[in-house]
Amino acid sequence: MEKNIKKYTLLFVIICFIGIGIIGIYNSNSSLRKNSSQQETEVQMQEEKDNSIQQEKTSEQNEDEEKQSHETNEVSNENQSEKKSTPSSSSKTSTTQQENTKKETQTSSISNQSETNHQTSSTEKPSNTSENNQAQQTPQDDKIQEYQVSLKIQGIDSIIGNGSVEIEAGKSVYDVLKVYTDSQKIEVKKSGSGTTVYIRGIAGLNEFDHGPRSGWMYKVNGVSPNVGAGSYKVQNGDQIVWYYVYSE
Amino acid sequence: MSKVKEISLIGILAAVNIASRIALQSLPNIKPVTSIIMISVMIFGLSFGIKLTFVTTIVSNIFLGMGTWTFFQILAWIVVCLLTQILIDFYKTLHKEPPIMVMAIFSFLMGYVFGFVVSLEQFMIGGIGLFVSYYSAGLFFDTLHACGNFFFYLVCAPLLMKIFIKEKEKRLN
Repeated sequence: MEKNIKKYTLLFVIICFIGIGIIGIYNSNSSLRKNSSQQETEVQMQEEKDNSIQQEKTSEQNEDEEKQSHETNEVSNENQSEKKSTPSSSSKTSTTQQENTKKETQTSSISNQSETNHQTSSTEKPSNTSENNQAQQTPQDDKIQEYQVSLKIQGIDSIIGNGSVEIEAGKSVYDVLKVYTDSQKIEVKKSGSGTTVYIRGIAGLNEFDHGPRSGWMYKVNGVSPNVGAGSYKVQNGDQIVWYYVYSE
Repeated sequence: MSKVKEISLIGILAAVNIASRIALQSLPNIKPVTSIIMISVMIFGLSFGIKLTFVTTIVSNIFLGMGTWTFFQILAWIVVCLLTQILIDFYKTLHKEPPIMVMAIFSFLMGYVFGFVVSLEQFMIGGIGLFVSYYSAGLFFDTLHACGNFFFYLVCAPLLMKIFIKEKEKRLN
């Protein structure tokens, strides 16, 4: 009896270990595959994002410029595809793309026609010589990119603040609010920090002041994002609205 | 061994294990559970030890937190029971009683075996990379568990052995 139990237990343990091993090896293989495919998709996503940003920017400009910059887009796309066919690495092309977008944003902030003309000429030329293109764009790489963002703070009846803020690229909605309220000397109550920051009150108007469901929320370009103010990264030209919700 | 006596013994020993797990939960991994399970396997056999393991783990995890680790804790203690049984059988073939110091060192090693088997859960979830990082992070706590086993075995074995052997003889008569 006791001998049999020993045998069965040994069998059970061995089967368990084999099962764990098979599942573990299967999982590790699938996760490796996922990782490699994720990296590929990330590069693609980056490219698509850059392209979409470029197109958004062009739609903001007026029609004449739109035509021109569409041409620029096509030219730059061709340019990129040419570069891809050359043995240069994909990371290199993505950096040049980012430089392209940077250039685009700078020209749009100035919104000068001659400037865009100049840009078309500057990007058309290097389609022949890609080395020239990179030499022109490298000095811009060191500059910190500045975004122009408009901000509005709506209280219950009154508008507490309304203005525009210049902020570095890659900052969050909370950073924009902080820069603005610091400059206007508006008091902000918050809890948490970093990406999990939570705004409890602005200018003495706090959460739960008007019922248990009251508090501060924000919209970007008329849409409420599903993430916290500390983790939503602003884009150039975003319109941020902080508003107080309550139900009594 | 009569069923009723076995069940009552399992109940009492499981209660001791559960009480010790809950009372000593502030100490990291220093518990007499492994030692008590090993001693019960030595005296009452493998099946008794496995039954004790199931009751101890499931009931104490109702208090400490139920999860996928419950299965792996049961598996780990079954492995400990099995290895103990194999060692006891080896000493039986030599017609010798296992010396207490050897068993104490064996219980010390069982701390690492337990930690290894419980860490296999991470191997199942995230592959070898997660397993290595998880196991190496838990190595310090495995060491504490091993040291705890060593001292608890030295404390428990002389006491519990006497009681268990008396109980066994009573039953045989």
